[in-house]
Amino acid sequence: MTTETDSMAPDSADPEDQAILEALDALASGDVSAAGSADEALRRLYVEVLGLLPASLEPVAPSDRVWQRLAAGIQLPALAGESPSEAPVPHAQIVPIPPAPAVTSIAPPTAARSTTVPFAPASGSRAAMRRHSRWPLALAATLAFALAGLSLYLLRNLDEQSDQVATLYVRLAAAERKVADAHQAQGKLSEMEKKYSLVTDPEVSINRLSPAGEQVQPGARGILFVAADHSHWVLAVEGLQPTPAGQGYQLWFMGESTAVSGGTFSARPGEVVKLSSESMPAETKAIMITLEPATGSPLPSGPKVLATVG
Amino acid sequence: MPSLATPETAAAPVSDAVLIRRIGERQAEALQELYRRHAPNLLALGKRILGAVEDAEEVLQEVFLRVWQEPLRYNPERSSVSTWLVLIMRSRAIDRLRNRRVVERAHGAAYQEAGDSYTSPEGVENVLDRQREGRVRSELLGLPAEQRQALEMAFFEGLTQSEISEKTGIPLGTVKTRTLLAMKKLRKNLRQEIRELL
Repeated sequence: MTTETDSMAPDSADPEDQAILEALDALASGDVSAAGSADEALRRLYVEVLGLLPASLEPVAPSDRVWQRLAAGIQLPALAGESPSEAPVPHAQIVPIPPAPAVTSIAPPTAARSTTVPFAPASGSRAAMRRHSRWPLALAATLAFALAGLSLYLLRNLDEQSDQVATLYVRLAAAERKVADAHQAQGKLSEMEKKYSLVTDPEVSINRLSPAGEQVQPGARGILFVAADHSHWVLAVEGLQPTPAGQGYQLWFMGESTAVSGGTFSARPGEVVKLSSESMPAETKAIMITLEPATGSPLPSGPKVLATVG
Repeated sequence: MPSLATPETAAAPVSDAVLIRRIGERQAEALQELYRRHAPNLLALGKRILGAVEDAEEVLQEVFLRVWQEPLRYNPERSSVSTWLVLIMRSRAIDRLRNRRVVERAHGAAYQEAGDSYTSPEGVENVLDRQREGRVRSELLGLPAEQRQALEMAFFEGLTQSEISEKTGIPLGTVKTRTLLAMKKLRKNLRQEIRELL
């Protein structure tokens, strides 16, 4: 594919032109991930300008069959019949940043508005009078020119500052994303550390889960780690078959004569399902997993799939 | 690892970037929501490029299939999600348009240009989106005609600057200058809209 820069080799070293050219490159290749030499933030702003262009068109509602074909193509039978427009989820609220304050008109200096003091002609010379009377006019004109120049300078300056604000904003957004990612990673790491310390604790009790019930899933198995406090636990399950549409697996804590739900989950081939919590019902003697409606059941009602051994 | 004791609230408002992350976690509902938000604008783009809605719908389906298969290709440092989707949609539609031109040239058939009439979608009532559309349209229309033409030919018709120059008979340098000027004006006048995307 010919790219825009094939024909748009930069004629100038203007960094803004360079950023536009690289944004157009992204347009030609459909890929914005390639690194360029232009200022990243500036380039990003121009990529977003291009991304906004389709907003000038009237939206066109896709027919239901597009989503149906898509859902069928990615094997989502449960969603195939559900048109996306039927179940809207609210957008993240966008808080617009107030625009930069407009430059208010600059009041002319009082000197320009000062009233002219009557001038007494010296020795009645009319020419001298005329010369003297031109001075205030000339001064006013000079001041007016100076003010006009100052206004232009300020407007230009404002434009440049707005540009700087825009690029800084892009950098800030990128930095905020990195901070958020770091927090998220830190949270995950801390959670993993907790689980690691639980499963490696010498006092942890380890319970195996094996296939059970009438609809046996031979490849399914699980392992439950319960901390010494009998409250924190981690469960890893693998080999479960994907649930039929509208159904899910449900975890149960079984007491002498009680069953407390630990929540529902789904399974995908080849994936290990990991569940954990910091609380376990005190009277728990065993745990089991049953197949229930996807929304969960108040008591075990479906076929048992896995249960603790012994 | 999800804790069963604190299930995630499904109704919480989510950004496009979060939807992409959830698609990466194979949450089909996230794909459905992303589709609901962006499909009408992307289809409008496809229709503008290809002319026929049926063709544009096929491209739209391909785009969301790719999003489902390769959500990690999205890089938040490089663009907003909506711009990423627009660039994929445009690229695929232009590819299809080029293929079609080749086929039509081979058969001596006339290429039918995209029409200017559009169908409004049912139930699209997002006021923010509508306001943005209005502002972008107004800014595009506010560009000098020759600048707008250069930009639209590059964006909607997928023409390079050289091709635009050839097609219009305008010197290449002039085409470049017009495109650069148009981009700078739009960036300046659409500051607010760009910030909303970041």
